[in-house]
Amino acid sequence: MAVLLIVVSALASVLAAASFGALLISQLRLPLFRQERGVIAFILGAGCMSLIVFAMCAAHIYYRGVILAVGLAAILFAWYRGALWNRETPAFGPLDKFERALLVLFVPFVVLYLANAIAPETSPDGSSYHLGIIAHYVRAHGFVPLHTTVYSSLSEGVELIYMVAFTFGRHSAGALVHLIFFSAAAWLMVCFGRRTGQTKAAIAASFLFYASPIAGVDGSSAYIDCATAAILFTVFYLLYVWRTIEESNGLLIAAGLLCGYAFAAKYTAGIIVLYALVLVVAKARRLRPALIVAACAIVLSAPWLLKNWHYTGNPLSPFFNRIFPNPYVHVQWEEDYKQYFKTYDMKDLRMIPWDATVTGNDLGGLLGPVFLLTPLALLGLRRADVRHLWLAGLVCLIPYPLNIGTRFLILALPFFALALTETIAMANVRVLLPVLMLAHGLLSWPRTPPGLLSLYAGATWRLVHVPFKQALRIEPEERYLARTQVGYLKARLIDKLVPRGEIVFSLSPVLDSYTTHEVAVFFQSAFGEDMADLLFTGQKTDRQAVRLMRFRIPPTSLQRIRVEQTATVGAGEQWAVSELRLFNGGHELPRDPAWRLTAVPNWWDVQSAFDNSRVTRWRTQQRARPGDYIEVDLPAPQTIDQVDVETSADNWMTRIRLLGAESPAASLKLLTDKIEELPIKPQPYARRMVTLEMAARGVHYLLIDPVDYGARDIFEDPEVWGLKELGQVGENGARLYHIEPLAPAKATQ
Amino acid sequence: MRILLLIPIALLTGCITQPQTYAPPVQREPVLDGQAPKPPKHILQMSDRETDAYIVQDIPRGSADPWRWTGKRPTVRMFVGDPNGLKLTADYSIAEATFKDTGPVKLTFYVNDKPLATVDEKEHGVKHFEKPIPREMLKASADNLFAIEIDKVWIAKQDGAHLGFILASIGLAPVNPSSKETTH
Repeated sequence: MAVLLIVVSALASVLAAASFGALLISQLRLPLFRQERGVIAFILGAGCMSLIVFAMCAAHIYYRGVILAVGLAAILFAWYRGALWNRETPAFGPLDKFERALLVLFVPFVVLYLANAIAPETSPDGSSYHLGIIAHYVRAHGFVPLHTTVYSSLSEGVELIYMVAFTFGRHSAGALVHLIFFSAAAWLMVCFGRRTGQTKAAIAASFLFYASPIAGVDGSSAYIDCATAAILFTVFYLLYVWRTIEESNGLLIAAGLLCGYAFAAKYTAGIIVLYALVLVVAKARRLRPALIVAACAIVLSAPWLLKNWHYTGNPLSPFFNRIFPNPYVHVQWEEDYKQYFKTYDMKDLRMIPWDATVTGNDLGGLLGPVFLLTPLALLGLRRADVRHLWLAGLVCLIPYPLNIGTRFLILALPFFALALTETIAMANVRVLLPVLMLAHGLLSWPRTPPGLLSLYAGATWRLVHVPFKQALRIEPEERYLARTQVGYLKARLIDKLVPRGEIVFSLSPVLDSYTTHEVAVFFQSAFGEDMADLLFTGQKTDRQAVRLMRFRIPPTSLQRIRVEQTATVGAGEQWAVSELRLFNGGHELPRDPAWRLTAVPNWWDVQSAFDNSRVTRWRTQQRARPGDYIEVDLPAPQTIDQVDVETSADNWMTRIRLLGAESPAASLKLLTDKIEELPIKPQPYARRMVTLEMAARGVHYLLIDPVDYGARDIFEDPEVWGLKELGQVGENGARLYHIEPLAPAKATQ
Repeated sequence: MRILLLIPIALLTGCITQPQTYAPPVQREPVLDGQAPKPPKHILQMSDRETDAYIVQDIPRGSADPWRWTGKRPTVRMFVGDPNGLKLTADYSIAEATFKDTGPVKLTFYVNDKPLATVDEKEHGVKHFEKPIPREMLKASADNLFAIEIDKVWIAKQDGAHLGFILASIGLAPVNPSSKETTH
């Protein structure tokens, strides 16, 4: 029954999407053959349906009944209009025997992928944020700000299609929809060969793509890369039809919409619009066709920019935070993130081709060794089709240096696979393509024998077996997940013990999609980083206010007081201020609600420097720069003769000076750059102070894994942290804690 | 065309936020004396199932009884963050049954394999030990080893088991600065 629900949910979602697409294709009168029409209808319709689901989420009317009604209406209307199936639609001729024989090689991989897609979803990103975020939307009946994860700011055009399937069939239905996208891309590659007269080469290319280990593991889980590849290839396909068959506006509208959908699927895939615009302008020698493409692209891409603008103030969140500063993503996080994904810590980037095709050790997966032959496709450049494939593939690769993971090559894989096989086909040696396919199949099949994958690819991300028992739920989903996924056990523990609506802070990832709670993982948001900084401050005194930088000045009437950082520091060093205090005659000026505080950068956190806590601090959250400042504007001038800046011991290179002005309108003058530095004794109850601070910021539950930094300290004596253990995963697993409030009688002291 | 180009630029620049000002927040109370929990302690109770995780040798695991027989040199490991102001504490018993055969025994308390104190037990019965640990004997922010070695073990005639003494708890506690704690 569960399997039936999964399959029906996925197929119904795909059919609904295809109905939207079929109606649009009919309306635009796209000159498509029957074999390609259904696939393009699905991919184009997915773009349309994602926009409709987006609108429903924005309006908070995403209910099961509503989406069911919309989907059924689309299917019935498309059926009524004859858009879904029309006998009069022309078809390609039948495949010959040899071509049909080549298609047989796909069968084992279809079975492999079906079993893995229908089996309980366990992929790292799929079961955490791809499905985890839409699960929140389903529960909330629409978009909700999820500031505990930066991933909620990424465009989610494909996930919204999974969301429809997930609403009824849960996780595996989402994964199955991805597999249908993936398979659709492979089929469209075959169709491309039918159009170019290179059917055998196209079947071979399609197989290289479909059987590629990285595409297989990605495409049979709730990732989005293969779906994005399908969208990109459809753009290419429609433009191919436009330039070779019919220069109609309908094709440009469809291609433009899909360019927008590519951006809606994945920011970096939006680069395909560049290919589309260049091609259209070059071919038409007019601007209008390009404007049609651009305008249609905006229709499907702009909503995501607006959503981010609305929720974060940064339309391109989680990137470009220097240009669009916001409290939800730290600039330092963005820079660290980008830096890592540019190299994956590889010692020698010249090894990328080898790693991405053969071992997958560093780049998280492998394309398959046959892709080492890709340079051979350069020999095919004398053919126009191959040149276009190269051009599209290279355009898709433009963002690749930003993230060199193997799966980011999937977007360009259909183009290079086709270029390669069409080039090989030019040799006119009939046996070459079948041998290539057979070799790729054997090298990519996970089980040995007959496959060889496990012999040369180690622990990299790839499929490892055909999970029939799990797919058919002979082994119940719950049991399988509990047996194999620690992250699932954590999620269940949270759901069992944490009251509804409470955020859980964790230093390690959890399979988010299996819990109904928001889990703030420390490296996934500014909020999480702030919580982690607090937690670590409890244990590491160098993060507390242990240095006092004292400015002494003659008694001066001031209304603006600014402390400015002046040094150029090393990468990663931030300026921090735990407390900033003003004095006159040895007495601290009491902090008045009428004071106005600000800082540059990261002004949202400035209150942490004025909260009277030595375990909280304002930080630049990016490399400290000369000119960074923290400022107090008083409601009226006051006499000040001393300014104390309390800071932590992890920003040694920073230098500060004191500026001031008599009135808001007066310009700031240098008061002194001489400081007296004094030590401050670490806080004796820092651990308890940080948990109280976390509670004050809305976090009352912590999930600590034994491998987490500082876990031992908490495990050994949770009481000193003010934590009460609620439960544990297994014998030696993660522990869930509640931050206990202060006893009422004592809290009033 | 120019207008078309300017629209997104205007939109994007319109998104850019300017530094904002805030009022001082609710003031935290930095000193939690009287409200805060007690300072760190690390007492391993033999009745606690978690104690098994800290045992290094000569203490049987898996027991939920309030005491456990030890071997010759029961040893545990405990994490110490701040090594200042800690004392080693232990509750144990010399069993009458073994004392009859062994007579008076000597117990030596070790911290990181360095002797902290030696105690002569001339009578059987319930005992308590505590002594401040010099800071230099402890490793900060690291696991430390704590052991009690008995000079004579009792050997069971039936199964040859080597029994030392009966341990109820062992651990670290803060030295009370107002008292003159030196030895048990």
